[in-house]
Amino acid sequence: MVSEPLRELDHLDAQARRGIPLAPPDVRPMLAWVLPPLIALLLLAVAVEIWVRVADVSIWVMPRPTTVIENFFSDFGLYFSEGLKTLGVSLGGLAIGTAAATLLAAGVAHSNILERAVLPIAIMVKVTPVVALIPLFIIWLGHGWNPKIAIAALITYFPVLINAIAGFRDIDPRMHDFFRSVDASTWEIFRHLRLPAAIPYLFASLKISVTLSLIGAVVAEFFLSGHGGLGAVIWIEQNNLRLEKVFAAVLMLTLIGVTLSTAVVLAERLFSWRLDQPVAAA
Amino acid sequence: MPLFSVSLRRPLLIVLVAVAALAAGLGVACSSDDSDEVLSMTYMGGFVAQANLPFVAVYVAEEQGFFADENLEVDIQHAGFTGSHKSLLLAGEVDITTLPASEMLQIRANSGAPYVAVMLFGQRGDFGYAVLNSSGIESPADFAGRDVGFKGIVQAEFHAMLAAHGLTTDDMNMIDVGFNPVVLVEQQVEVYPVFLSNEPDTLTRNLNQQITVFEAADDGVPTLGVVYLVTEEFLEDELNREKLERFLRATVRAFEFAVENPEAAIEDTATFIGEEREPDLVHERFILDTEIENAISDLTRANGVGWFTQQQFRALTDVLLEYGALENDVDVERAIDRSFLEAIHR
Repeated sequence: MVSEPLRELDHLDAQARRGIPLAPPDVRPMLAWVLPPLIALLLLAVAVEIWVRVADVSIWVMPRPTTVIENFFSDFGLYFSEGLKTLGVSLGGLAIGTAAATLLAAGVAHSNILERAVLPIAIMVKVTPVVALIPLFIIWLGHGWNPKIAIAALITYFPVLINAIAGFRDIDPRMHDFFRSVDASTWEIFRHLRLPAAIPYLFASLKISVTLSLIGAVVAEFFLSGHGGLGAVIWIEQNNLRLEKVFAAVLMLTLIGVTLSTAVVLAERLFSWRLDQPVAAA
Repeated sequence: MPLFSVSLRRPLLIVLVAVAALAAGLGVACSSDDSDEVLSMTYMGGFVAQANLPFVAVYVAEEQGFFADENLEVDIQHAGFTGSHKSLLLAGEVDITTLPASEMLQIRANSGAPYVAVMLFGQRGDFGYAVLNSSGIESPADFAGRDVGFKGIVQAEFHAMLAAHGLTTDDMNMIDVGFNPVVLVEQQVEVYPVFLSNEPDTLTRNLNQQITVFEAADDGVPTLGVVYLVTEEFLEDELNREKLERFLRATVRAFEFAVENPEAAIEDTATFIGEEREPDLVHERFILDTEIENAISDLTRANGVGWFTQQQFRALTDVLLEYGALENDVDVERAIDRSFLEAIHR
């Protein structure tokens, strides 16, 4: 479901496409989009700060949010550079996991036999604890970025696979009959019917997978902390009991997650609009 | 004529009995001291249950009744893989726990945690560096130009060991290998850092490899193993000090028992491991034997098990400082307290 501010942005886009001059930018939709989560986060931080102070919670158990924020800004360069490493692993894993799952789903959507053969394996891989696989991935894929990206890919592929299969199959039977009646090839049916039908499903799964890929990257960095990344920062500072740094790294991770999720929402709007054109033509 | 009439005899008898009982009670009370009061405390081992000597000492003390002899009830817990023991001790949820001495000093220096070591097990460090015998590596001097593994962080003691041979990590290809010794067997690295008490057994017995393990201590690098630790706040309370002395007296006794009766100690340990998983007794025995060997030195033979000196901790701190493991110096005098061992071994 598209939120009110996004609907507003859609409206502005449509105006621009029709060549209608835009009114001076109205910042209210953007504020309405940004402010609620910021206020919610602020309220959460204030609640934790009060709880820590009133209940005299040990700093070794829960750091004060004010200390965390202070550390976040004083060491911002560190969290930013390590965040970029984690982002790289996350995006690499997301790209590979999504591409592999989409290709597999396209095949499965066309073949019930392939579905029966592949889905149990996909589920088996899904239920295997990723943590148990990391030492093996290191042996199989070496000691650099590859095992981390593989872990991120592994953790992201499943939601995409399941949603993409559903999307590729969610086509209007009458349209399918029409395509067949004009001797459309399998590729043409896929390109003009199945793929547009799957786009909303793919983006719905991406909204889940994008954050999962971050989790996969961080977990992999726990085990291969020598190359840095926010996972390594969290692991090392947890060992040092510097919890303010642990939470500051989590804060940077949150910012990356929010940015990626927003990017997926914006990409969804862009792709939906573009893919509408050939379908209309068809 | 009787001194008291019959009617007076019964009340008098009751009074006499009451006085006698009171006197007996007072006598008991006067002769008793604090040691008769049953005290309780919480111990948390810093990993899963296994035959590491600091854990075994607790298991044996419990199973052989040494804690009971001290009128001490100990709630024995394990942190598992979480590392939560470090925070729980500082939060006062746990009274005593275990950590490698270097890690204790590191946390104390880098985050200001008021840890205090009260007993030392490993008179040498827990880390070694394994090579396959077929590798042609005969000493750390041969690490130059090789693929050398590390587990997340290159240990300060490794830097010091290399320095003793005129090398630095720039002379070799350092590779982050995680926690799987198979990378050595698969020759993805030629040097693999091992936890001395268990991974050599995994490599030789489970993976059937002939290996040599180099230790920094053999090159004169000051290294130390696992300590029992409490907090400065804990030690400020007299009752806590009493608890701690009883705990250490019982575990020192258990330590000595384990040295004399390793089979029985492993049986006691198996009871606790069995609550989590099926114990591999051969492996557990390897762990125990390795740690007993590392816990006995000329120092402990002269002063008693668990003994340590300020100089040992100072030397270790200096190595950690030199190679960047500590961001600040540590006031070693505040970080250790040997008074309990002195009382026990007096």
